[in-house]
Amino acid sequence: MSLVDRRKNPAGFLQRVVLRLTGRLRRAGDHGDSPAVDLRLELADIALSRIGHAAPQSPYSRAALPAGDPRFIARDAARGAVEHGFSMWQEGRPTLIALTGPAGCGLTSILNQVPTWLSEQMHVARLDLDRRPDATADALALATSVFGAQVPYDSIDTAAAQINALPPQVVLVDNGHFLYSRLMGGSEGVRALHGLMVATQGRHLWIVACETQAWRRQCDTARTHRYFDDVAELDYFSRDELAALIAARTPAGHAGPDAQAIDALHRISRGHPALALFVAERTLRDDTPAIPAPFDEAPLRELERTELLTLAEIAAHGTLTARELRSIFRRDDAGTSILLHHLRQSGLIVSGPHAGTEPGNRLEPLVAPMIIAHLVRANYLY
Amino acid sequence: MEEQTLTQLLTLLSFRHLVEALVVVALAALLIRGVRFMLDTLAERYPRARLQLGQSYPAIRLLVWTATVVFIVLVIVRPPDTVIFAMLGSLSLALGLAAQDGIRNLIAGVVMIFNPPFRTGDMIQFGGHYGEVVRLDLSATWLQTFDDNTVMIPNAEFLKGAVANSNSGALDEMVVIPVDLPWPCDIAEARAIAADAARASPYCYLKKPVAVAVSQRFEHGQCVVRLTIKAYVVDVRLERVMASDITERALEAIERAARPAPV
Repeated sequence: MSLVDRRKNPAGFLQRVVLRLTGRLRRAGDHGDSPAVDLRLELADIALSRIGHAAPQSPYSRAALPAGDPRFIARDAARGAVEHGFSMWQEGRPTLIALTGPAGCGLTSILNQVPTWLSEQMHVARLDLDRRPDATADALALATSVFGAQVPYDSIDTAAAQINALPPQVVLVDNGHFLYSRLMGGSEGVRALHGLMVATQGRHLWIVACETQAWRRQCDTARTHRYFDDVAELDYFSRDELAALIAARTPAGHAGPDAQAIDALHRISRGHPALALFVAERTLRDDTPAIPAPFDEAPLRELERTELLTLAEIAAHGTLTARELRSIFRRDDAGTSILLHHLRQSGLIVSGPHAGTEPGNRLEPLVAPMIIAHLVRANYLY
Repeated sequence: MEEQTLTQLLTLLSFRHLVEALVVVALAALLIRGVRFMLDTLAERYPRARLQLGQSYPAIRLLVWTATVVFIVLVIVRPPDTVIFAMLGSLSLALGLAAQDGIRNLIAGVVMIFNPPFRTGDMIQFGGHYGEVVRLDLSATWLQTFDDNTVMIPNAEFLKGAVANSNSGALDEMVVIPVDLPWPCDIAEARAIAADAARASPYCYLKKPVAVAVSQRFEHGQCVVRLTIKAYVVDVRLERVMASDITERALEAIERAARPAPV
């Protein structure tokens, strides 16, 4: 039963709501005699999707889009903030810009487009953070490497003086979630990086892209929002933006989804572009007109407090290694390892490459919005 | 006249009326159970609204029982005015005579519904007991202490003494954690470490500030420096867990900082 069909059958929908509230919902197939077909997305479906997933050039690729890619869907709020901040900065006003948005809303793709929005004479540098700076010297080395500086600095003032002597540049900082750290002593490096940005904002324009949860934590702990003049708070795609995205990605020769299907797709994905593309690709591949029902959240409701707290910290930090998790939760190696394996097997987190020796753990990108919504409802994220 | 009233009363309390009244009471009890189940289910599903949902239950229960009594008297029994006045007179007399502990607690319970010093889910300190309010009945309040004891306190007691409410309807609350250090020590460094330890705890609510106050004390003839860490816990139920976690982190880090660097 698709969402559209379900609307036409309110009695069935009501029955389902009652069943869910009483916790007696069983997936179709658990009992072979059940005639109902349950099309809810399961974590296992998502996990399977990673196997043999489409290459970046595939129409349904969920990879970040490079500069000038015609498949990029205009994000006016982000462009407005960048252009406004840029013009203010060019007029001589010290400016810092932050682009914030929920995980997977397309911040990297937006950052990739920024050079095409600015004047061609402007030199644009890029700092893709891939770890949290440990201490002041580490943070300064990381930041000054963008300007080609090789000399190690031990103070913000020295580094700022050197950088301020260089020609003006626009510096794009991606993965701003690495600018938040809950580790004991971990805020030193982050504060140094913030300090350098503030000290050099008159000469260079820093544009930081950061996931919402990490940005909120930065604002709560370091009052970061006080230093940023322009903060564009992005969201997932609106219904029209999603329709444009699907239209841009539907392969030639295939009929795109109709308006009702787009509505259903938007409701299911909550505007999360990667999830919408995943569902659209799955629907097209299976040659079925049915749009699946919303994501099955039962596994999330079964999690214990420790697991929820772990997910919340991973969500707030963007990425956390096992070592960092051990430090935050003061847990031993074996306990951390079992917990991470359990969350991984449940399809809630994935391991990915990290600058350090061990892999970083992050929320499964396709279901991150649902996990975060659940954590907010349960008061583990705020 | 009195005989007539008594006859009327016996007529009104017929078997049929009794059965109907019992059915209505049973339905009301069922409705209250249903409301309780629904509120519990919603609280489990939306933990953030747990306190608000819990707070609404006593008022709903009072409303349902009042409606039930009014329905039974005015719709099922339908006594004439004389009987109503006679019953009210008797009731007033009984209330007057028995307005001691039980009635006093009931009245206090009603007062607390309309002017609550605390709500279900709040952490309160009263009469040497500290714990979470888990149940608010009309005559008594039930606390769950951190030692897993359930404490029943008659409601009338709350109108006599002072009640300290730690969170007043919010999920977060301030937790005060004292950490004593032997003097001499590097106070500035210890204070910074204590604040860092509080922010590093995964149970700390970061939307509210962390503060560390320093004071001097004498314990067993020795001068000690007391760091008082004030931080908010994300959920009142994690209060002790956070206090323990922050103390551990702070003491370990301060000890590590004081240790001479390896040569």
